[in-house]
Amino acid sequence: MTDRRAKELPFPKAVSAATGCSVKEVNEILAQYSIEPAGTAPSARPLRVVRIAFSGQKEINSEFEPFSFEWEVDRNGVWGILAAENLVGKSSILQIVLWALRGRYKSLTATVRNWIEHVDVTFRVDGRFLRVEFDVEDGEPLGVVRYGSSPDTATDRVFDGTEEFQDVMQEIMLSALGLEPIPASQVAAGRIVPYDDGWAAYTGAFLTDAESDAIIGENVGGDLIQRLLQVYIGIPWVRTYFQAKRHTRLLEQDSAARRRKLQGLGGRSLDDLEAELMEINAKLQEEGANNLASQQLNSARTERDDLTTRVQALSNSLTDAKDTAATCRQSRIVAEQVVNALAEESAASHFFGLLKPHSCPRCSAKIEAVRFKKEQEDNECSVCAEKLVKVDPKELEAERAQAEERLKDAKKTDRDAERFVKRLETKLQESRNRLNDVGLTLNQLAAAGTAADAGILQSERDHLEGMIQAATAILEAENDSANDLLVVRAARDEAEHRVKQASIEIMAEVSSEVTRLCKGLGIRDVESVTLKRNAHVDVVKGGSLSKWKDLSPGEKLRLRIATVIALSRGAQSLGMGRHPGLLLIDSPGREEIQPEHLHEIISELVKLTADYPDYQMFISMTGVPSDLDGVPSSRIRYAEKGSSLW
Amino acid sequence: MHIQGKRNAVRILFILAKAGEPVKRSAPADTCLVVHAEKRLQALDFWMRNPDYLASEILNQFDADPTQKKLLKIAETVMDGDEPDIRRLAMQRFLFGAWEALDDAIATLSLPGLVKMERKYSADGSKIRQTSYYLTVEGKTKAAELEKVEPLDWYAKRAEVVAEIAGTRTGNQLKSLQYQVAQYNDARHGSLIAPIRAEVEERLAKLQVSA
Repeated sequence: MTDRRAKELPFPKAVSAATGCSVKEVNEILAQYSIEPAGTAPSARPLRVVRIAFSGQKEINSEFEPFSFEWEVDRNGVWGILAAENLVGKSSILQIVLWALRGRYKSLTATVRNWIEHVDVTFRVDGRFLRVEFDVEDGEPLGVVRYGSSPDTATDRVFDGTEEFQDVMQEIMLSALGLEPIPASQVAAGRIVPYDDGWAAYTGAFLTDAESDAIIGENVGGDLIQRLLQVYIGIPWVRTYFQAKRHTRLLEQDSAARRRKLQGLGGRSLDDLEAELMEINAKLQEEGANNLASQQLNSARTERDDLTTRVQALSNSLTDAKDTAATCRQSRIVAEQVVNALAEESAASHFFGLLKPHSCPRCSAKIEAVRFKKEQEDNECSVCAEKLVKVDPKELEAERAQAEERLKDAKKTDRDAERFVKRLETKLQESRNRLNDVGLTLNQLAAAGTAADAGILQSERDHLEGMIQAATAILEAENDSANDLLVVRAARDEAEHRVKQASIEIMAEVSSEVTRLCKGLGIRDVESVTLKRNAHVDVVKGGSLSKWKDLSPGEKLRLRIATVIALSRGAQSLGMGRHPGLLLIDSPGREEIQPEHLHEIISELVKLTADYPDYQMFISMTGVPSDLDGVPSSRIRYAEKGSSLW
Repeated sequence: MHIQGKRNAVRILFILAKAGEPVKRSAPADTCLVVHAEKRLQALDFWMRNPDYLASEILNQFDADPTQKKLLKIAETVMDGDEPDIRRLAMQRFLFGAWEALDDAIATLSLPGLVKMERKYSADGSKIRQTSYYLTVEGKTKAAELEKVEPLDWYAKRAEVVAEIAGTRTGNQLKSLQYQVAQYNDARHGSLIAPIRAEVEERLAKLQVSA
C-alpha cells in the first residue's frame, strides 16, 4: 500500500491535470468548499463504558417490585451478560446503555421502559469523563449529561425530553470522538439540500443484535451504509469523495437555477440586449435636443407658475388701487362741488342782491319804497326788518381760495391714484400676455411630445441597463462557478477513483477475513464471502452465489458478527479506521446456532479483544458462564434459572 | 357759509325760462311763461340734478329714432367726464308727495317779482288742485341777463336740454318715467335714488361704437 501511495500524484496535482486549472487555483477552490485533499482519516478515539446503573419498579400482576442494577465495567476486554433463560432482561441492559449513549432507545420494550425510573451510565470518551443520568417520566427522559476532563471539571447539560437528549449527545459525542456529521444531501421541498447525519447514525456501528436487518448500521440501503462502512474501515479519500460529491450536486443545482433566471430575460442573449441598448443610446443622443426640450418644458412650467402667482398678486393690487382711486375721485368730486357751490352761490347772491324786492312772497303785498330807503340807510332788511348781514368780499375770497386749494390737492391725489391704477393695469396686462405666451409654448412643447419621449427612452434604457447588469452578473457567476464546478467535479472523480482503488484492496482483505470467520462460525458450505464497498455481500456457498436475502436468519446473524469482527480487526490491522472500540453484541446465540459454533463465535470475539486490547465488548446471551471461555467470572453477570439479572 | 341756497332759485328760474309754455289770456298780468303743476317742475328739476337719468332718457329717445344723431352728442355732453357726479345734487326723498319743497326757491324768485306762484284749490277749498309757476316779464329779462353770468350759465344750458327732452309731457308722465328708470336699474332703494352713471356710460359707449 505504501508503494501504491508513493506512485500517486498529490491530489491537487491530479485534479489540476484533469481540469487544466493551476494547482493554486485547485487548492483555492477545494479550500473554498472545505474539500479536504487528504488521503487518511484521523485515528479513532476510544469510547468505553465505565459504569452501568439503573433502577425502577417492575409491575407484575399488579404487584410492584422495585429493582436496581449496578455494574462497574471500567476495563477493556469482554464482559458477559448471561442468563439461563430468556426474558430476564439481558438485552435490556445493553439497550439501556445504548439509550444513554444515543439519546434515544432502540429496542427497549415498552414494558421495560415503563418499569425504569432512573438510569445512570458513565462512559469514558477519548479519556474524558462522560456521565449520563436521567429519570424517566411519562416515558420521556429528563436529566443531565456531565462532560469534562474529570468529574470535578465537568460541565452540565440539562435535557428534557428525547429530542433535547439527542441533541446534547450528538453535540458532545461527535466532537468528543472527532467524528464529522456524515455529509449527505437529500431532496427537501424539491431542492437538494445538504444535511448532516448525526450521532445516532454512527451508533449503529456499535451494536449488532437480532433485529438489525442489515450488515452494519440500522437501515438497509442508501448511501448511509456505504458511508458508515467506509468511515469505520477508514478507506482513504472517502471523506474527500463525499464532500466533493455533495458540492458537485449543489453547484450543479445553482447552475440550473441561474439558467432559469437567464430564461427570465425573455430568451434574449446578452449580445441582443447590448445591441438594443446601443440603439437607445443613439436615439437619446440624437434627440439630445430633447434634453433641451425638456429643460425648456421645465422652465416654461416654472415660468407659468411664477406668472400665475404674479398675475394673481397684481390683480389683487389692482383691485385695491381701484378702490383707493375711487375714494380719491370721490374726494375730488366733493372738492369740485364745493368750489362750484361757492362760485355759484356767490354769483346767485350777487344777482339776487341787485334785485329790488318787489312783493312779499308770503302775501304778495307790494314792498313800499320807504322800506327800501331804510334798507340802504340803516342796513335793515326791507322784507323782514332784520339786520342785513353783508358779505365780506375778502372773507368770501378767502373761502374761495381755500376751496380752490383743497380742490388742487384733491385733483393731485386723484391723478396719482389714477396713474397708479394705470401702471398696475399695464403690468397686469403684460403679465397676462406673458402668461398667455408661456401657455402657448407649453402647449406646443406638449404637442410635440419631445419631453415625454425622452422620458420613455430614458426609462427603457434604465430597464435595459438593469437587465444587462443582471444577465452579466448571472453569466459571470456561471463562469466563476463553472470553473468551481469543473474543479470540484474533477476532485470528486479523482477521489472516487482513489477510493475505489483503496477499497478494492481493503475490501479484499476484509472479505477474506469475513470468509474465514464465517467458516469458523459455522455457516455451511461457505466458500467465499465478498464484502462490497456498497455494503452488499456476495456469498458463495455450495458452489452457487447467494445474496443477503437468500441467507437464513441464523446465517445472517453469524455473517453480521463475522463482519463486525472482521471490520473491526481489519480497521485495526490496516492502521486505519475510526471505530471507537466499543461493541455491544446482543444474543449471538439465539438463531439456531449450535453450541460449537457459538463457542467459535465467542472465542473469535474474545480473541479479537486479546489481539486488540483497545476493544471493550459486551456480549449478552442465553447460556452459562462457561460458554464464555476465557472470560473471568468477575466480568460476567449471570442469572441462574429462576432468577433475574435485575 | 354765508350763502344760502340761492343757486336753487337760479336753477328753477332757468327751468321756468326754458321749459315754460307761453301763458294764456287767463294768466296773471306781466307773466309770459308758465309751468303748470309742481310735479312737472319737480320732475324737470330732477333731471337738472341727476345728469345720468337725463342721459338715460336722451338715449331712449335716440334708440327710438337713431337718425337723431344730435341726441347722441347731447348725451355725450351730459355724461362728459365727471359732470354727472359733480353736477349731481342728491335727492333725499323720492316718494310721491314727499318731494323736495321748492318753496324756498320760489320765495327767492317771487320776492324780486321774477316768478309768481298761483294755487288753484278744490271747490270746497280743502285740496290744492294745481300749482302754477309763472315767469314774469321781469323774470324773463333777468334770466336772459343771468344766462351770460359765469358759472351760472351752465344751468341755463342744461335747462334748455331738459326742456327739449321733456317735451310737452306732463309731470306725472315724467315722474313715472323716472321711477321706471330707477326701478329698472335697481337704483331705487326704498326712498333713495342711486346713481346709474356706470350703466348709462356703458350704454353710451356701445351706441358710440355702433353709430
